[in-house]
Amino acid sequence: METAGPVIETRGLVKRFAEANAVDGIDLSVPAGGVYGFLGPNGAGKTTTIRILVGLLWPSRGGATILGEPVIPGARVLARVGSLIERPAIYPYLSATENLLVFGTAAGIPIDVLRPRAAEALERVGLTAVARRKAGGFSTGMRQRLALATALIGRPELVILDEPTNGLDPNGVVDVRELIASLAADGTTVFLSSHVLPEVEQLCDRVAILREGRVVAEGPTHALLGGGERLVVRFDTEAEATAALALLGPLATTGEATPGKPATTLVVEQAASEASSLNRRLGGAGLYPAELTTRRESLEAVFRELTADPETGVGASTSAPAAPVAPTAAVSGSDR
Amino acid sequence: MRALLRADWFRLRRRKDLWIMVIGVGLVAAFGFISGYRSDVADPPPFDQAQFEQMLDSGGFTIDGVAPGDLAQMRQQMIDEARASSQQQLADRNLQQLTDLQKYVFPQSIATVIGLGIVPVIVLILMMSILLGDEFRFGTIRTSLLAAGDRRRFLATRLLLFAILAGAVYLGLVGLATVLSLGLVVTGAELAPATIGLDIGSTAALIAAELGVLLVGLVLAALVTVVTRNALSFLLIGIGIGIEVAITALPVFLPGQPLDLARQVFLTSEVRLLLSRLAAASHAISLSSATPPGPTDSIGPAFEIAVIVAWGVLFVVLADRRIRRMDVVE
Repeated sequence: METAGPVIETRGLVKRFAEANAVDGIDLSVPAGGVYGFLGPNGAGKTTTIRILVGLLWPSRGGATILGEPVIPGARVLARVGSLIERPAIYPYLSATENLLVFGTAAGIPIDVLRPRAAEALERVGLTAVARRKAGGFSTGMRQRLALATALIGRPELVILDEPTNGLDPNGVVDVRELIASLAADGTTVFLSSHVLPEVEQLCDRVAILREGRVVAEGPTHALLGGGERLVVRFDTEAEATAALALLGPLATTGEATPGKPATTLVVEQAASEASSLNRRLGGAGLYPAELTTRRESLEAVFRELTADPETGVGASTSAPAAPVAPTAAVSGSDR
Repeated sequence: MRALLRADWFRLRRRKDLWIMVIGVGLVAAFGFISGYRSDVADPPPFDQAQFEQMLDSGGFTIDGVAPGDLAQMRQQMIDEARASSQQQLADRNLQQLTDLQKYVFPQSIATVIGLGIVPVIVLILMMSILLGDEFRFGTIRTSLLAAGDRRRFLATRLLLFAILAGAVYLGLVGLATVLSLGLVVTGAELAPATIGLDIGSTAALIAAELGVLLVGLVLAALVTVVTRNALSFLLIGIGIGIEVAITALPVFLPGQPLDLARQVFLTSEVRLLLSRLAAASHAISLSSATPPGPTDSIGPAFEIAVIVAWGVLFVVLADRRIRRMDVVE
């Protein structure tokens, strides 16, 4: 269900606990539809932000809107949001089905609608076989799946998931990823906080990266990764590589060489779209690459670069730095 | 609100541990009723002259300087006195039974089963603490608050559910009292004709006051639980009540002492005064030990009710404020 404005919007969001700001002025704008990734190291303020968004915490300053309506604890709009936050919130003395019936009933869903919907939700998360079992006996992964089902029982327009694949076995992880993708395909906006960067890279259209309570990068995933694209040029001889290095100047650096072998590879700070012009330029100088490939930064490298401790450098990527991303500014480009 | 109430009822229905407590209220009441009846109906053993004589003789009944003929006369006199005493005891007992056994006849049996309602109060406050505290323990406070929308409705629903449950428990106790007294009649058990009529209006007022006190206790349980975020809040309430009772027992709070008036704003002291007053007015035989407060003990029943209601309102306001303003970090 598309809405005209952003599905989630925060302005100068601050949450102070004791002596420190867990969230320190977050501005976010999450468009409708698709999957929005919310990344950051432990303690960056992700869960605190999510708790504010679902009305569990009062912001110290600033504010947020969800689906165009202001969010405070108890806001009516929260009935249109499904959420899974950290550890699963389920009643251990109820069966899986009963848990869904309780949450659905409380949400005002008529029982005749709720029963088939609960069965459907359990099937979607792969718990049909244990629908009648008490949730207290469930494994961590099963609890996580059940909590996911409770988040979906109200058919929300926005689903906020905090580490949804925590505690799941590999099959469970794949299932949940497919579920998230299917939700997005159905038009539900998914706000996904995750530590599993390949998962985010695979699923998310846009990402925001947090560090110490602030957004340090935000934008379409491909733009964030695209900025880190480089061209890798391999020549047959070291002489050609040296000549190309001189020709390209500061754009190129010598690539990693195998010990005892000549350095024949250059890394050029240009995007894949520049490959043909680079090839023409080299050809014009009589230098013909044996191989020209694109090296793309992984989200993990970008993440490590952006979330590294500025003083100690801990967490920084050991690979070449990613393309610069303006702090708290949106990366240009469209994700759809 | 109805949807939340349905969801809460669904949850409560599945808590077997809590239902065992509710059933326990009935069992304790029934046990108290039956054991009380057995005790009241039992006659003291008849005077056994042979046993009494054997007791005298086993000690070697001799008195130095007393002639054997006089000794025999003294012995017989002691036996006669013991017999007379036993017969008097039996007569007193029979007279007392004419009153005591009326406790088990309907409608006196209602007051006998319910009494001052201490067991239901303890059990329902415990249930409230556990049910609400578990929301924090299981982390379901998050989903419950989100489902409720307005947080005020979350708390209101819980209180309404427990108010209904409290009413049901009291109705159940009235039913139990009826069944137990009927059971005695049907089984031909010895009962005394009703000569002391139960004051129905005062008894109804007593039960209503007990329910009111229970509601105040439930709100207090909710308040302490949302503050401590723990089901063990019940213990804190118990400790708090103990401290308050101890404070109001201090000499400075006694009638005529400097803090006499201050005593009358304490919740426990006003509850005690109001319930004693209504218990005495009810003419319930089982509550005959209750003495109505005198003019030096209390300002008056209206003041007692006002103080209890004021405490209840204060607890509601504080609990409501707490639930609306708190950050949920579970």
